[in-house]
Amino acid sequence: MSRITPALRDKPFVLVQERQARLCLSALNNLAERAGLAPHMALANARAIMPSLTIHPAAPAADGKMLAQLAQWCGRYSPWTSTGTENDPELSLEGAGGAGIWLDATGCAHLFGGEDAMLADMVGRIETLGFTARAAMAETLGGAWAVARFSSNDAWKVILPGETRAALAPLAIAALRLPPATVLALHEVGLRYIGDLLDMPRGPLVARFEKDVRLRLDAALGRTAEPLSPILPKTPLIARLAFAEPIGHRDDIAAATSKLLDSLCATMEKVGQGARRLVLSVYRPDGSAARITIGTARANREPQHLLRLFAEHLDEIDPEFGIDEMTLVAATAEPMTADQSNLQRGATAQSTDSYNAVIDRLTNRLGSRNVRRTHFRESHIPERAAGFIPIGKIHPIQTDQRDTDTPRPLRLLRPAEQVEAVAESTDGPPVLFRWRRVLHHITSYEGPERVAPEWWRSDTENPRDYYRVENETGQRFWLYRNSETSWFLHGVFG
Amino acid sequence: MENLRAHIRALERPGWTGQEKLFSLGIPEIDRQLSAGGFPPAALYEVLADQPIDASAATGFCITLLTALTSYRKGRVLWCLNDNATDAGEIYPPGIKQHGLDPSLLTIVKTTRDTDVLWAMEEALRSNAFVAVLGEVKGIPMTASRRLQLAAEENDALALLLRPATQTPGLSAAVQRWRVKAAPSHPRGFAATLNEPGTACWHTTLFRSRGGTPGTWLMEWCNETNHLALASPVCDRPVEPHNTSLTG
Repeated sequence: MSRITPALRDKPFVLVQERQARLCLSALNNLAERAGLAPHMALANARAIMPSLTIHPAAPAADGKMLAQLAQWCGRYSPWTSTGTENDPELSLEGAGGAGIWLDATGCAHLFGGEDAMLADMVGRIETLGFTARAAMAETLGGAWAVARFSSNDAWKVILPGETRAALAPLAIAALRLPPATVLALHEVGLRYIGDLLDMPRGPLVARFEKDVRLRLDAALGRTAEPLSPILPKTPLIARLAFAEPIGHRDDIAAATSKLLDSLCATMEKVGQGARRLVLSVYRPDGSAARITIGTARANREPQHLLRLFAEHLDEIDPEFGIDEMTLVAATAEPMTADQSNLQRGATAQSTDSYNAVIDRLTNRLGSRNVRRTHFRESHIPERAAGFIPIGKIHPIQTDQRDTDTPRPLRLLRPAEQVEAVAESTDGPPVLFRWRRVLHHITSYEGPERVAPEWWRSDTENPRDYYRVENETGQRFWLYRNSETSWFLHGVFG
Repeated sequence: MENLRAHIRALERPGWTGQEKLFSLGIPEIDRQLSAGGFPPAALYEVLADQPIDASAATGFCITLLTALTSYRKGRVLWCLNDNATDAGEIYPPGIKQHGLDPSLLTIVKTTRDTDVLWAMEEALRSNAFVAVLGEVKGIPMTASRRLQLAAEENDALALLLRPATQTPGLSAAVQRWRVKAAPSHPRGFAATLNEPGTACWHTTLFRSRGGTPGTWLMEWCNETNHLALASPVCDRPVEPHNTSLTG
């Protein structure tokens, strides 16, 4: 809020929210906190302590959105960011210590010149966006959470591996991410700091406070694993480029993309991976971000080819007032062996390569649904027996091409179009029909060919009687009549 | 004269060796009227439907060309479907197979805009992954057809435009422009006695042929041998006289 109205910065200011039928404080600024106010305090009490308080209703939905946006912005530091709310509802905005963003910074810090420099950069940038931020980096999730929120006044702090225990000991017990009731109970028995818990025998602790305390403690100390992200490759496939001056010209963006691709492809080659999906993110100085995603038909780490795929979409990026940073992440990567030498690779392999390359380009511009191959199925129903499916898709039911003795049309109408037709008799051949307002007189016909419905399918329809007919000008049509004696045009012969 | 022609061609196409393998529909009467004595495999062709209802007949003629090409030079074929251009349903693999073209060679691109089709065709031609690229387009500007013709020549692939019926086909850089119309079939033997339709019969007009003579032929598809033949003169529909005034 104080980001939008700078005047609020110098006044005690709180956000209120209704909880259990009374108005409570949900968030407050430093001045208000210094005056002795605290979250969850009733508004009436707060007013009594500080009558000059500025009050605003809280907007949790907007806060959540802002936080998600900020988490996306943090993508410049690590490919894995999260607001944490989805894996741990207790830690949502309302939880102790307010909102936070998780970053899995494994292997990312060197891009910024070390952990300290990365956190300093992060806090500095977030402050220029108008937020107050605190950052901590530790070997465990719980450790970082505790230090960021409960440690001394440093805006950022890096806890080196092995120092977590020492860093946590002087912190208040609330830093263990415990529910308020448990914290209160621990206080009652005189346990105020994490250090008090560290050396306690575990048995009685668990007996008294259930698993909660032990679980959180173990997680913070790294005794149990606390999974943060699902599966992350050991070397994160990410490349980053920051600009001294924001760039905005398309050619500059293309050149930067090419540079990122070169660096990422080199990394992928080192770890034997190839990208199936790449995400290019651009970050603007005002904290907004845009991204382009491209996919490939098979694992690829050819900068030239990938650049062509991106080139199609670079125009979609609106640089607005400039781009100050870009990252490129291989969101999906697959193991890819090094290219064999050309000895074994004949013309076929080369043509397969160029085929895959052109399919990638077509799919990325036209959509993967629109690039297809032929597909045959074991079925008598014409529209089901053959068609086209997206190239990347593997269909479970697939048969070889079936040979039908009876002629099949060159073009099939999907779905068949109903026509007005006149037949010799109710079960006889058609004499004339009208399709798309044109009347066709039938001079010769072949049929009927009975196509029975497939009884094992639930959407069973009527049997159809197909006729191949020719009109007086030589066009040949494929008509059928269902058992309700309605006529349909299903296809046209060549 | 021949030397001069070869000289001009060499100027036009620096990489051309003069030893180009041609393909043929199997009809010597047509080959004789073409400048090279056959169908060049690296060129742009255009096939127009005569009437809206003839879209399928034009499709059939395109498939015949593709079958003739792939039978001597096997390779992938890209087919750009465009509902806005043809409006006659999508091609049906079993029907294509019966016309002699192996459907597994086909890669399909589904679009609804001419510009996407032309872009996809050029990408495909320049990729060297296809021996032939077909696009269904409503209309094509002269420059776009010139680009396709160049891309086809440079990458040694066939480009084929399948267009719906139009009164104004416009200018085009295609080496051959055909207009196809369905013609009544001539059932033989059993089919004739049962009054069943015979095999496909097309009234085709080559209204522009670079360096060759335009002409009109009545062709008949032969299911047994999977190729075209001129409709036999024993039927009471003789081949129509050549109409040389129809230049594109």
